[in-house]
Amino acid sequence: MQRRAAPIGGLYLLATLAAAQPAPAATTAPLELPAIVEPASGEHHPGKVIFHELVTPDIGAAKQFYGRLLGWTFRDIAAEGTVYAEASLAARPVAGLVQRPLPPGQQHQPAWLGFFAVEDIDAVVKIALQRGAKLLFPAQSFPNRGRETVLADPQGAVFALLASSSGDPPDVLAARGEWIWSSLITTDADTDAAFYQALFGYEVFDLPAEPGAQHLILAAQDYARASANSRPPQAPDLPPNWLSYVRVEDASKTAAQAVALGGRVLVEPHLDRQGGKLAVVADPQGAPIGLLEWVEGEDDEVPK
Amino acid sequence: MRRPVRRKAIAALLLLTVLSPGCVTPGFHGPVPVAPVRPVYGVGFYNSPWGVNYGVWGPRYRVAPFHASVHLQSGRRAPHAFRPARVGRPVPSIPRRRQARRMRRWPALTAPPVQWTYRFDERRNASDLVAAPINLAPAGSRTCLLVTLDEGWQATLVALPLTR
Repeated sequence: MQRRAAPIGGLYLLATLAAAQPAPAATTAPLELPAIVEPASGEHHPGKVIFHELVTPDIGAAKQFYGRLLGWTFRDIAAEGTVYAEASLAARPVAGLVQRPLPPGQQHQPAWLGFFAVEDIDAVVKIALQRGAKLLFPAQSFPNRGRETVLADPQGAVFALLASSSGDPPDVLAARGEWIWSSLITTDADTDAAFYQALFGYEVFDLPAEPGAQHLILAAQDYARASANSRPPQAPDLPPNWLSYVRVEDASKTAAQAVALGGRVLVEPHLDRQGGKLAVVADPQGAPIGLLEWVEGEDDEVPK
Repeated sequence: MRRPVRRKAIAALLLLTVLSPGCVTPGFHGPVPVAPVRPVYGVGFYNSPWGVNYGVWGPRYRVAPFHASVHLQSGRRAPHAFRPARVGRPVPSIPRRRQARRMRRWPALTAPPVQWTYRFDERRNASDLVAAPINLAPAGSRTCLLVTLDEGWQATLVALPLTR
């Protein structure tokens, strides 16, 4: 009896050991970020927000929140000194999550960071610095990903540039759960629009707005890429910031679900253009994220 | 008759053991280390603490794009810091083309297979590693393990680093 049992136990043990064997080595490997587009697209859309990353003190909680809220799945990428997870939706990469411990005794806010597509990152950085931007993370190249840098615009809003080595994602309508829009909320939309126009060659459209406010559409290659908006008068202390929106089926339901998952509602769901609802929520760690309904095939008339 | 049955049971047990972590866990990296870690990637986004008081956006505070290209008069005729779009040019919308359905592709090898060979010594009641792996699955691949068990109690495990 003893002889018959031994091979099972021994092989079971060795199989388990074999399966676990390579794990320690991988965590000391350099960070290998996934490509933005797979297979490579060869397309370039300067000024388009092509990727987002969240810096959070609790990557596990963030994965749980966004996975349940938006249906994202995650793949851990372990590397020396960095805890990173790639978020995907329907096998397409949608975001990256970076864990960064909070300094003890300090209260800082996690945030999503939008990456704007560029072709020549060093040339764009040069223009940005000449126009008053602040360099937060010098341009650095990552295998598969490309070259990226992080800046603060002259008003202080943080944004990133990315020269994707696999090209930019094609210009298609975002699926539900994917990023669909980015909006700059700033103290001086006019000046900021000029700054980003110098960087990306945007066409800038000045839309009707209430007195004292400004709503600008920043467009490139015949597509609206983002908006620049005056800070809401009801939020006088809100520092300039970029806020990105994920397309959702129902903004009210998704906002309620965010609360159920430990988040908060920062801006209640309300009608925006064309009757689509928009809301802003914060994840359990406080990172703001926008929710935007976008109905396909509805009437294209613009409300007066 | 009993011996092949037992071997099949052993092989099935091995498969269950190694395939569950091998094919479900992306990559071949094991658990992600827990903080604190030395940050080496990205900027310290906590440099500028700021509140999340977005306020109550009024009904006319609109930030979203239009659903289609529209002709709108400029909100202000005053001089701008930016160059306004040409007069009469419609305000564009976001892309409307739907995403093409992604064809499911067969996974491809991202690196040469990695192989371990173990032999069970019945006299010593122990397993010996006969052949060790010479490389590891690269990051970004999903690893599947194949297990074979021959008549001489030699188990061979082959790790296939595959595209996701």
